Amino acid sequence: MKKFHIALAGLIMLGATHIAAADEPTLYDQLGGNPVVTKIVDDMLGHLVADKRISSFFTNANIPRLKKSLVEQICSLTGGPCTYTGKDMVSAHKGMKINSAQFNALVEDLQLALADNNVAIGPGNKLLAILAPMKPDVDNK
Amino acid sequence: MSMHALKQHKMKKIGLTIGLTAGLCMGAMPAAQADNGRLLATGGVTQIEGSAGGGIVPWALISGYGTEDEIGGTAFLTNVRVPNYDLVSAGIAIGLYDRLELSYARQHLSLDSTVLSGLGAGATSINQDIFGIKVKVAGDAIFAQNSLMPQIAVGMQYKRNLDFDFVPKTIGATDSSGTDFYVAATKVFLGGLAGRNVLLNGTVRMSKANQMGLLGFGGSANNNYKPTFEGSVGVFLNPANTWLLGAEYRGNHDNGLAGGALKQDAYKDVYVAYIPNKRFALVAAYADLGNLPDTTTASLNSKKQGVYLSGQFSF
Repeated sequence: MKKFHIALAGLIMLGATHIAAADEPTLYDQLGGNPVVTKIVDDMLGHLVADKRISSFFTNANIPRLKKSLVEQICSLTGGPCTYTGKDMVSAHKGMKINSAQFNALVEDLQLALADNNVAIGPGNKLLAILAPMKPDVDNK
Repeated sequence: MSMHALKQHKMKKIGLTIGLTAGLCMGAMPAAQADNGRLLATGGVTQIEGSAGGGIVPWALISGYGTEDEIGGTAFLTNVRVPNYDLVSAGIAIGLYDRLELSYARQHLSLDSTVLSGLGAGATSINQDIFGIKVKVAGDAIFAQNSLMPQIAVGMQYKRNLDFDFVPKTIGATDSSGTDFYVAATKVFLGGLAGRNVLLNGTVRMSKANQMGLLGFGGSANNNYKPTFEGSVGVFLNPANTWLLGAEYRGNHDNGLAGGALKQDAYKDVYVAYIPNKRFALVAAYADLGNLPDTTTASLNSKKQGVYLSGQFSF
């Protein structure tokens, strides 16, 4: 009987954590949803075009389209209500010959944009963790 | 204090002030947008034998900030002070294309003449050269966040004790030089603990060294390679990853010096690293070196704890 009670308590606790997990806001919400994600992308693009290490990649870019695409991509990757409709990472960067130092420069500009918007350490690092594995698809293509 | 000593003391003070001021100025430089290269802190700092790592453990990271197209490097100065012993280690390392690391360090251990004189070794200093090589063989510690695969490197440290006849031989060490072989695995989990980035490192070392080689290699109880485990953990405290707080462990094999009378234990430390930019880093730690020779005590050993301070320049 005692065993049954313990098992039942265990099940209830499992249920409780499950409900809590389901209620946990998405990373998209933790970042601040559309207004903050849009602002982060905006600020990052500001840093990118001012960054002598990589600004040449953006001189002929369609910045408004790039911005829309990046917001959509981050939204979809972080559990937001969006579907990414842009190119995959390999074809988007084909022929650009981006090296590691240039990729890292972009990461640093994103970190600056996260700081600009006072993004909390947890959501900021989780966003970086989601984006980090893209490096092999972007570099040296 | 004599005039000469006073002058020397003053000079030392001035030197220290200049050094500190330079360090603080460099510390004030903005962390991002300053350089090419890898991301901040991804070259680690420099461990006591000159390899990129923590304080006492080599990591799988390559020294400096060079990417696969670039050359990076470091110069470091470290001081470990425990009662009766003062170790200064200084050296340089070069990181080639985020693949190969070459390093050199000179260790200078000052010891009170009392701690070994009971065994007939009255020298007050021991010097050692360490030549290191490390090759990254697989993985990416930072970017491969979609897998558990760590960055893995293999390395060697060739050590040459320059005072073998005065001390290590007298207390029963077999060889004046030796080579450590190690494999290190390092992984950073972005947002891994309470939203902070977490570094984990495990290293297995094959070594015959007594106290890193400062007391020679091999002894009466063992003159064969034995594997020992070393580990580091670290938590990056802030979003810019400029503050790293952590702890380390380094197992050592006791080879039985002075007929087994001298003990060798594991080293441990808790550390805080400040890495304000890609040019400069400072590390402070509290180190526990376990038993070290101390012939002023009946057991000929005493447990030693003290401070570890290290600074490095890098590119």
